[in-house]
Amino acid sequence: MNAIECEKLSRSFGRVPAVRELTLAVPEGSFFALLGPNGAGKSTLLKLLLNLLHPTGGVSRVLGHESTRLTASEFRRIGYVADGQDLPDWMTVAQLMEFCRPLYPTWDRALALRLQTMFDLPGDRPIKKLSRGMRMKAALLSSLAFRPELMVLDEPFGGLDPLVRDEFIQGLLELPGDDRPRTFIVSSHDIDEVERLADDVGFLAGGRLLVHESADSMRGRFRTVEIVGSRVAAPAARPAGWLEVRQPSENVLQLVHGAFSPATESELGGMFPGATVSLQAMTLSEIFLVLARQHRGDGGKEAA
Amino acid sequence: MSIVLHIIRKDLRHYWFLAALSVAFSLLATLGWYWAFIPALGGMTSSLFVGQISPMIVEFILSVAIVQADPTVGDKAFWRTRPIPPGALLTAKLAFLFGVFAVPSLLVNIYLASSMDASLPVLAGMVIESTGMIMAEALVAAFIGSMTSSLIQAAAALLGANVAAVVFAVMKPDLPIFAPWRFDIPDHAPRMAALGLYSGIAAVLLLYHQFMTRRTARTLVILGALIPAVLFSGTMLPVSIRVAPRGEAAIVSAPEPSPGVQVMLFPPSQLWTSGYERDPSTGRTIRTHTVAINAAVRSVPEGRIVQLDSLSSRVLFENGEQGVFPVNSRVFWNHWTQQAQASSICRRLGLTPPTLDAEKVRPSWLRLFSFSNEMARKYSGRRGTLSVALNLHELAFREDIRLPAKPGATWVREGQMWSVGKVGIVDGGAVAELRHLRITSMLITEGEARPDPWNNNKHGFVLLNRKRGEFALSADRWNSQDTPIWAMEINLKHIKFGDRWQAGGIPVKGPIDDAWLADAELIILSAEPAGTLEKTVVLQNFEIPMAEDKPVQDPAPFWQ
Repeated sequence: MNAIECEKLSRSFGRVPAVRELTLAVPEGSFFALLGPNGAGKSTLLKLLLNLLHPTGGVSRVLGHESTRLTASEFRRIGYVADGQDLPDWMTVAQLMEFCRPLYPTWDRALALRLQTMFDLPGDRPIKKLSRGMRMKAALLSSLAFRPELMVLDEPFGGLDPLVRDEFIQGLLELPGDDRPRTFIVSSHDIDEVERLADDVGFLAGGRLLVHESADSMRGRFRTVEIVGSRVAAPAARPAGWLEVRQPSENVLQLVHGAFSPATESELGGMFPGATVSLQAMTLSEIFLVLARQHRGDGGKEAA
Repeated sequence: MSIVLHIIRKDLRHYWFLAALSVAFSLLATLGWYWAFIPALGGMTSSLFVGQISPMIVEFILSVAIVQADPTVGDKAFWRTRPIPPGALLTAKLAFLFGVFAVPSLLVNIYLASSMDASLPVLAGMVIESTGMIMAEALVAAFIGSMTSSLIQAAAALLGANVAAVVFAVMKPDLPIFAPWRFDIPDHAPRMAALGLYSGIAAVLLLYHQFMTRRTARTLVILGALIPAVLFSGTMLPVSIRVAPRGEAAIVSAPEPSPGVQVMLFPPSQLWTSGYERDPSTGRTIRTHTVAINAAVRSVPEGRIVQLDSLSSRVLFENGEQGVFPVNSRVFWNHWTQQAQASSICRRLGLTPPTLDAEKVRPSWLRLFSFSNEMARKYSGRRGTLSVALNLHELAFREDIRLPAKPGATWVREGQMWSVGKVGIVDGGAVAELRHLRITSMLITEGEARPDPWNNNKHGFVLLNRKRGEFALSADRWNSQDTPIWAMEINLKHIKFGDRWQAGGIPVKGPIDDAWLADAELIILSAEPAGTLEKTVVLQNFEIPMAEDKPVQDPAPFWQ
């Protein structure tokens, strides 16, 4: 069963489309990273999912419920932490916990205390006097302590210093199975951090979902390729999967292969006899940059 | 329910100071305590600020803040992704506002009303009216708060709405909504009540829509549709709400008019420049003039006085032209001079009045009609036959209340309370500070609790010293009145008593002193209707005079 489903979901602000006919399915139990540059529509998509914004077209479902009809009972199963989200910042962390606790039948006080200790959060300090990182951790604590089935994190690492970011991610990674939400959806433009966590990855740009597949699959099918030989040149008709083809010199050809398979190396050897073909695996971050550049170069119309 | 209480607790924890301030203002106003603060704070300005403006500001700020604590605009609100049903949130907000704004006033009201022997219907009417009025303000502020994301935005929206209303009123001055009483609309009080009721329902609907959907633009569209709908329903459609207006009603009828009462006019008339008024036909402000003539009432039965409610004048000019002038319903004229009052009071108490001859009462200026500068130029200097139709009523005093002329003395009956504040000698005369509290309700259309009693403030005051066989009549008075909690009318009177008289009507030398006051009792008489009558007076050779530059001082009635 899918935790999240979107069918031709759209949202425009005036004449500016933010999300365009987006179709997506995130299965239960996965950690889905929604990646994309600033302004790609990631936050808008998450807000549409949680009924914080109304769609101008299409439909989305969260935990089997249509987003526009999400009620309080559904929000007992959903955690949401977003950069810039309003918190009752006059409360102390302890007061925030006390306020949230009666709202959730599944609130685990012991887990809340464990998280508070793990995040090193001072209970008696008003939230408005906390640093940005502390505020995010307080928000995360208030969203994890009731053991949500689905955790939605919108740019949770924005503006956090590396140490706090690491603590934050470590907090998520170290949660034992019972304490950990079954499904995560995390939006970020900081792929390095998400890479450690994500099972599935979606690349969003210009309001369109360019790619959606598992992180392993993506890592498996993208390679940087360098071909060194005498007068190597790219064929006139670009083969399928070739991206960002560059020729720094007449003896060197570089490209990103987006459709790598075990046969790719021999195919390339056949295309460039006598040349040395070296392939190198790519990180999600590198793949993301390639896709983002592709999207920008093609006026936002092409998917990889 | 638990979520509602949970949210109320949260808001109370955050806004306890504003809530406490609001409760303090409510209690202050409700209990009438601020009367005591007025002199210390500098008179009417302070009174207005402490008693009226400050609570309104606090109410607006708190209403907006409470709603914006969990905002319905924007997409960053904490509550939106928490298991908080919007209906419960709205209920919590409204319950909070009700608890802070209405409950303290209501509790004190109910306590005071009970201690003043108010009947259950009067109590219920007062509670409903007070709650409605208090919550109407809070609902409007809450709605503004639900459509904005900061206090500054909310204040700007309120200002903008008021400016828009003023602009609209200037552009469409003839719409009765802006001043229904000025247009002589029948039953304007029920219409205003209907408008208030419809506005309250509209505010609740809008709040509900905004909380449930958070679609601000759509709520604004609905607001745009509801405003004309409410105005049309309240002013044009038939209303069947039975409410009485606040103010002072005219006597409709009374049983026994005196047949021999005469009204006499004494030429020459005078033309006064009386000020500026808005011409309902054009909407423009015009300079107005008033034609006045000396008048007196004769052959009034002893113990009674005559008052004029309204009059209408016609002049048949020498050239045959008929001049019909506007009805004057604000005549400010009466035959009730100090002497007549004293005479009537004394007779009712079985005392010999200082002066008995009512025939010697001198005439006083009677405003016949007002007209525009243009009409004044047209008619000035012209002669004709004046015909004045007067609607009069007769009043008689009845002894109502006796209580010791001592601080703290109190008298209570059926929702009314008289209490004596300070009593002492000031500038050679005795001055008593009296507080008159009256439970009223616009929902009570009969009896003494109705908000527009014809005889409100028509009282006579006598200090009686039985030990010495002497009495003193009120010689001067000044009032201040307010309805600080909408339904509780508080009237503070300072009564100054003049010369001493013996029971036989003989003056006693020497002013009232503290020893005299110590043995005195205060008698309060109320006026009751003795008859209504219509008189038409015809005056030949009447001339509308030429305009004078210097306006003549109009005598004000003694109870003003």
